Amino acid sequence: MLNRLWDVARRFTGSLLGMLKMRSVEYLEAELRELENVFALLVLGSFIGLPSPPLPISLRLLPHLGRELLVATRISERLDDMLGEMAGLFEIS
Amino acid sequence: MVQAGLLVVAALIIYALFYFTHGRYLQNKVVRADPRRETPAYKLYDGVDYVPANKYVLYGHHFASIAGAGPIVGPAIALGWGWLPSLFWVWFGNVFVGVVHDYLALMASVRYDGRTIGWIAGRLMGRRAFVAFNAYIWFSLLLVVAAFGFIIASLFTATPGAGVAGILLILFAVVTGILIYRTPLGFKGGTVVGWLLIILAIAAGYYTQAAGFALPFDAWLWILLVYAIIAASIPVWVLLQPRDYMNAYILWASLAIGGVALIWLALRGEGLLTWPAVTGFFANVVGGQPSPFWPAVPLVIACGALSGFHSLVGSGTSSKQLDNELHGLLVGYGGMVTEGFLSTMIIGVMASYGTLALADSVFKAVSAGGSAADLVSEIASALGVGAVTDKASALKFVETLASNPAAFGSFYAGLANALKWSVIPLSYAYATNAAFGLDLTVMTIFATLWITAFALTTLDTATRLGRYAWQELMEPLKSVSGGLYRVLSNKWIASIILAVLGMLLAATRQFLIIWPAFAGMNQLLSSLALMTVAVWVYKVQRASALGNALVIAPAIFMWITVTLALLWYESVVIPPMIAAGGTSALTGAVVGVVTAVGVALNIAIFILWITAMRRPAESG
Repeated sequence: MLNRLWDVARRFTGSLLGMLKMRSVEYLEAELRELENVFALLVLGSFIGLPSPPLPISLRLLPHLGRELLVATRISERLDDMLGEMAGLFEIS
Repeated sequence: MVQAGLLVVAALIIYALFYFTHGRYLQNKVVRADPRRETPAYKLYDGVDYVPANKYVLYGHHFASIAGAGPIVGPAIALGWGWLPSLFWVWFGNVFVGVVHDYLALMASVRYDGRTIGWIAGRLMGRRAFVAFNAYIWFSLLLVVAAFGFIIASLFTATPGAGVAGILLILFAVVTGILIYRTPLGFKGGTVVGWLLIILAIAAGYYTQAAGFALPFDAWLWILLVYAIIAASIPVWVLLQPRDYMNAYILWASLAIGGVALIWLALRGEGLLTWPAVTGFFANVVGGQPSPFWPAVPLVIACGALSGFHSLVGSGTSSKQLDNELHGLLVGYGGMVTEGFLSTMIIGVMASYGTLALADSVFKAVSAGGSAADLVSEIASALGVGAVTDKASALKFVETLASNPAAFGSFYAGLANALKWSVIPLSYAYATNAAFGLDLTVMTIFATLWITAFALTTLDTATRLGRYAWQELMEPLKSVSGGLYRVLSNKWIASIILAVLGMLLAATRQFLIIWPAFAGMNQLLSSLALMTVAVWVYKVQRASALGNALVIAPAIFMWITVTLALLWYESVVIPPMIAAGGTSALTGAVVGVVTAVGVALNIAIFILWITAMRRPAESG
């Protein structure tokens, strides 16, 4: 019985802490995502005609940017609804 | 006589009952949630937006995101109709409409890869619905800034100590943010320092108020204007993020203290509801005009019963983090009923301890003189009681008002508004003082800080969002005049335009006009979200007749209610404002145009909805 109560208390505290941690970083995550977009654009800009950086550097960096490319592609699919996404993130109630 | 604690217990029972019957039915028969179906958090996992989260963590986060000042202020205004109608709308709206709206918006988004409800509306009802959705957001923001600017300035004027604590909390949030994100103290160390700083802010507020510090309403508006512009333009990690994090503690602490206080008082046989249960079908609530409870109530109580902004949080953010489809019920449905619980607590606290609180505010207003004192004299004459000269006569004045339902319905909202809505935090302070003996001034500052902390977040996030929307709107200018585009799309200019316009509206002090317009726009958004999920349930999910009825009936009911309410607002409340001339006319014209655009969009959405419902069903 005591073990069970302890387990419930532990899980409750863990959830509470998790929730608070989530509340402490959600906007930062959104900002980080935007910075990653900018970074991907800077590094891989030559593929879409942006002058920087030189193509050889882009090609050498390419294998390390798999995840960034994936995330950027996904986000580009949602670009028609960014206002809605931001409205969801910034709480107005 | 009913006890406030019983309302809290009744709310818990009702919400639990609906959660396990109505909620489970929606989950199993309408959504047909399947734990084996991959959620967007797994299907589209990117470690950034799409990340699975623990269901309790997500529930707590979702609730903290949807709960702001709205579920507190709306029910407080609606008490003009009496506590029973207000409670009825909170409970009925919550379990009949609000939970359907929140839960299905979340789950529809889960099935559409975490897309927002606006995008889904576009997918199901056409591109024009999507444009209308974005227009809702844009038009709402101005009213949001005006309504929340007014309520913060009012509460700070009434409780200057809370104003000091609020400003200190802003500075302390910056310090906490630096400690958490930029020093080795990290999350835990920074959090402990953050708690201490919250206590320090309240203590500083307490002592400055005791020392006689006070600022007039307009001065607070100026401070808020500068705050909104700066806060909306600085990086989120500096202020918004750490303050939002600290707010979460204040929210959960206030909810726990208030809920337990009312139950504890009920066990001791205290906390009786002394305000009138019903004042009449008509009460002077919206714009000071005799307002019919139906259809006008959603223009007053939005959050707490139903809020369109919840669909944005549910579909834009929470849906991307759902670990398992079965968790949606706790997050979407559970989050909404918890907000209903918060509103129930506010109604209980105010209806039981509002007399003491109102008497305090009345005495202060009479001592200070001015228009609020004149209003008190006017009401005292109408009630046939003597002039308010001391605390005892102020209490007698309020008791007489509370014992006369018709008079209460006529004067309550106007009086509370003139008294800067100080009755809300004061009632909470009196309840917690009666239950646990907590210091009245400290708890008043704490409660005001709780309400204004959320309102401040809303104020600067609305300004920030308005900036983005404005910059998007300026895009066509780029090809016409590059110079003008650069000026108008500058982040400071974009923030200043919305904040200045919003604060000018707030400065007119026409809160009982502005709040219903804000709530109305909110309800229009919920109307669009409900219609979208109704199309999804009917055409895509192909639910049973009962399942369809549980979704389509609230959608139609809310559409009719909100449309009629706004038409009533346009035809009864706005014309006298315009006829009054001066700033009233300007406020009436601006708010009237914004809500008229909202009504027009709502009618357009209804036509699109009918068309979509009659189209052949699509699969998946």
